[in-house]
Amino acid sequence: MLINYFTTATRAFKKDSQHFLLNVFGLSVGLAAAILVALFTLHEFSYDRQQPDAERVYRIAHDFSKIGMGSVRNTHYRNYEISLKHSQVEDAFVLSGVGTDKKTNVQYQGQGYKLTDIFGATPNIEDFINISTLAGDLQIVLTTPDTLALSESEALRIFGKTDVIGETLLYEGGQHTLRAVFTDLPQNTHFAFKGLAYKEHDPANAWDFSNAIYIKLTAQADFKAYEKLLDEQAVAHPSMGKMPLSLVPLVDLHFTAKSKTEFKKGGDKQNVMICVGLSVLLILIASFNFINMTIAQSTKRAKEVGVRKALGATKSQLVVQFLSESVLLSLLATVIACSLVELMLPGFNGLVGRELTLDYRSSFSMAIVLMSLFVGIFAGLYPALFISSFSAKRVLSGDLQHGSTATLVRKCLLVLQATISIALIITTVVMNQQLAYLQSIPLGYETKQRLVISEIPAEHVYAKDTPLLLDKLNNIEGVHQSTVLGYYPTESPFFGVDLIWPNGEKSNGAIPITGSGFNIVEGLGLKLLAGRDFSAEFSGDWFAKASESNKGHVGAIITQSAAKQAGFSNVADIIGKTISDPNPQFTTDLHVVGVVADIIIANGQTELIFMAGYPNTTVFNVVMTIDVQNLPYIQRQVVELIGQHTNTFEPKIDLLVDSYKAVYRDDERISQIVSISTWLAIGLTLLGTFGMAAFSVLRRQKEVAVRKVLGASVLSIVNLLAKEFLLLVLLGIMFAFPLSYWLITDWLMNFNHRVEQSLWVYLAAAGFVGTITWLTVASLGFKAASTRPSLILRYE
Amino acid sequence: MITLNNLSRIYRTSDVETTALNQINLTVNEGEFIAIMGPSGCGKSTLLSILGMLDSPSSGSYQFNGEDIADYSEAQLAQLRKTSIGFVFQSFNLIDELTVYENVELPLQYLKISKAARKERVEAILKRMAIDHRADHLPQQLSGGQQQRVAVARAMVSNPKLILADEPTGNLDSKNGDAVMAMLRELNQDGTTVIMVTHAEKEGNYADRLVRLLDGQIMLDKATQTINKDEVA
Ligand SMILES: Nc1ncnc2c1ncn2[C@@H]1O[C@H](COP(=O)(O)OP(=O)(O)O)[C@@H](O)[C@H]1O
Ligand SMILES: [Mg+2]
Repeated sequence: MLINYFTTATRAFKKDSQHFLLNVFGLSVGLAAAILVALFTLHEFSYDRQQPDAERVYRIAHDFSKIGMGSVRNTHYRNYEISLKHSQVEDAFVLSGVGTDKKTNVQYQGQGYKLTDIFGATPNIEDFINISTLAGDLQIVLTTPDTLALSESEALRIFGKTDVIGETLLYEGGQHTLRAVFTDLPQNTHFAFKGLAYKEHDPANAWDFSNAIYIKLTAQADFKAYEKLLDEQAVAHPSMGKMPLSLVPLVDLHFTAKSKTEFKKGGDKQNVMICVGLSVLLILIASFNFINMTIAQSTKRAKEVGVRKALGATKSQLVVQFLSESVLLSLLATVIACSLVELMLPGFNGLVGRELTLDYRSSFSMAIVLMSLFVGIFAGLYPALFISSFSAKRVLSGDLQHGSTATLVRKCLLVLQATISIALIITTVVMNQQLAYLQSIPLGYETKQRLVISEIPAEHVYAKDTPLLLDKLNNIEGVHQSTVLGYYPTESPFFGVDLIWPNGEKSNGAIPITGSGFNIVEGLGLKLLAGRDFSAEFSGDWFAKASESNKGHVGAIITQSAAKQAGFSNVADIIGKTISDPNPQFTTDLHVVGVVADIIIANGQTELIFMAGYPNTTVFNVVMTIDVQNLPYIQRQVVELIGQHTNTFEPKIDLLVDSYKAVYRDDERISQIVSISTWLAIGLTLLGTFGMAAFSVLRRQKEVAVRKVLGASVLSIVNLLAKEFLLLVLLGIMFAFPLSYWLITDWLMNFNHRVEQSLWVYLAAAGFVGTITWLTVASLGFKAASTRPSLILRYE
Repeated sequence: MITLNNLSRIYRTSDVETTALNQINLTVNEGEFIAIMGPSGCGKSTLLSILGMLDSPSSGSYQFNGEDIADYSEAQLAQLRKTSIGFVFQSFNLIDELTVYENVELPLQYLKISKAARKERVEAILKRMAIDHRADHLPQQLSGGQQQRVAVARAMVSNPKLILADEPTGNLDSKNGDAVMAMLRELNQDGTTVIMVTHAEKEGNYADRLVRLLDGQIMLDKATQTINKDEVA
């Protein structure tokens, strides 16, 4: 009997191939989107679950929001030793930055390389990270100075081979010996080191905060209680004081750890959810199409149903028959969807910034089959029930021409589709508006024509008398000038201090500060509101220690907000006043020489203080003002000069414009995904409208013919046919408007600076869907209305 | 074999109520050949579909082989239908997607008869109907007469005790119509009960008994010979 179903199904498909193709195509697209998103979602939720005892491992986080950093992983090494003493702790693991010092700029066979993402680790790494050693011994590396372990691809990059045990890399004043090679870390972990090295910790160093500490609790331990205990005992930051400590589950890090000091950029749960939501919408639209078209076409199968009933088929047999047809169709659509996925995967990977692959041997393919069955049954159940309940009597005695066709249900589905399409269009437009707006907000600094060289050791670029390197950089053809900054302009300063304003009041929490070179106002393109730029002509600008060894003074340029906080609503009045950093170990007097308009730093804070020559970090970013036409030449010159003068290799050089774009890349991605889904949704909805309209035109053929005979114009007939659909769209608009308003308002809350939602976007979206619906129906209606009525009436 | 008692069928649509059958009393004995006649819309098809259990009465009782089928479940009705009743329709109602052979085979499949046995029976009946050379054709490729022969073959293949035919010759020319009538007569002579709806007086004469309906009520129920006399008289 199954074979018989199969025969009827395939022949019915063949006979009505247009309807069949529309159905399969629609479902394939919906399923392909769902498969892609499922791959992505599974990947996103798989982060770090492969690590040993992952569910019991937590990472220490400190709340740095005092200086606008949010929650960061950086913690003092001593917290590791403290935690080991606790009975709740089974084991703990430290991953420590080795700094961007000399040791990471190495040479091999005369060629210079920059070792990035090298970390020191405690030797128990294998108890915390599922890492496999390809050659050598990690334990040796993690216990012996001047040895190094590299990842496979890093070894290949430098040596061109993986068999590198015993090879050496020279650095200024020493060498690393390769003692281990490990396989590249998989993508689905928040860890991102490319090399491991021994790291010595000096317990007396109060500033040893470049550590990530992972704590494995015993199975019985209560993590909340332990978090509280550790928070009480944790080491305070020497300048920022006690920062609240929390424990973040290892498996949550991918979604929750977002600070700039993360090993790599994490994922965004909201974005994953948006993707899931969109794919569900697409599947729904495709299923609605399926339901709609199957029911519309069902009168063609009515006779078959009648006959089968007369021959003794029960209703349930018929339901099974039509269900198996839709499941068959859905399976076929799945096969097509899989090939679509293969085609789209590279593009999709670019879109979500992952390297996903479809592995048919995994349980995932089982899930695909299940999903396909589910969709087949979900979409097929109602039509199957509907078709199999046709009255056999009416069909067989020949008086059923066009019976009830569940019009209400089908109209509801069409309204839903219109709602989704309109809401998606509105969302897409507003998202794009918002992103364009973000790119256009005045940042308070200039991104155009600015080239930034990251992390150059201070001694080469940061001195009162222009260092040689800076001079040479300035002399490159096409470089107008350069200045030096203690943080990356699109990020936020990793340093804040409690200050005392000129009026003796304490600052409101730590104020972000940064060291900077001369001419910072000009170099960054800041807007000077009062006072002047830092200048070599004023010898007091550059940071200097006073005669007493624990005091210093420095020139400062502050933002308008900082001046306001200091109590100066007329910003010019603060020029010449002194702000003080009252740190008992080292007190600094800040002489305000200039006030600039607020600049936007990554965390949204607007108070910021530039201090000329202040040594708040050991590496500085050089911001050059250049002619962009000369970019390739300038880049080559920069790399060469830096290699010559500093023994730093492969420096990171970016146009500030690009860095700024990168800040919003995730938002841009999600907006692209929404755009693509929108087009797909519209396409599928039109497909559905087309199917429905074709059916409706067919059903009203006779009416159309009669009207024409009576003298109706073609256009009036087309409008008559389209009216039915436009009414449905109108209903869709009524649902779509509040829905999109609500969703978009929610999304916009993610941003500090938001666009206003404007009515025209809503109206345009509605107008667009209305117009294309009219066009779709009209394209069919036009043909019907132009047919000679005699042709149709003769057959009746 | 069949007893209808005060049987009525009322169709309710949103605004109108149609009494398609009104207080019908009818007894059909095994081996009878009955013709049902009447003007269009008088309820003939309704009666036939109730007899064939494709539709159920609004009131009154229907006994089949002495049992009231009112309480039968859908599955039981389907079972009874496939074992005991064969249908022939005016518009043939062959499944367009299936070949002649597959159409005729269908009732046997629902009866769960083995493949080999099916083949034997289908081939035999196609031969008997003289359309075996068209076994692999699709219905649209056949003439109306041929299609109706396939439909009769399909009705007969399961050896039902009752054949219900709704205007079986309505779409046929007189030659093909006569052939179908002859076939039904032949079946009846082999012992199958036949109930047939027809428009043509001439075809009424093939039957042993004539039931005339008007507005859902039986106006006349007589053996054909008597009618002929009446009409002559
Ligand atoms: N499913 C139905 N719904 C409503 N009215 C029906 C239905 N089927 C038949 N009728 C009405 O019942 C009456 C009898 O129909 P039918 O038995 O088909 O007549 P006929 O004698 O022409 O075969 C007609 O008036 C018809 O319009
Ligand atoms: Mg009829």
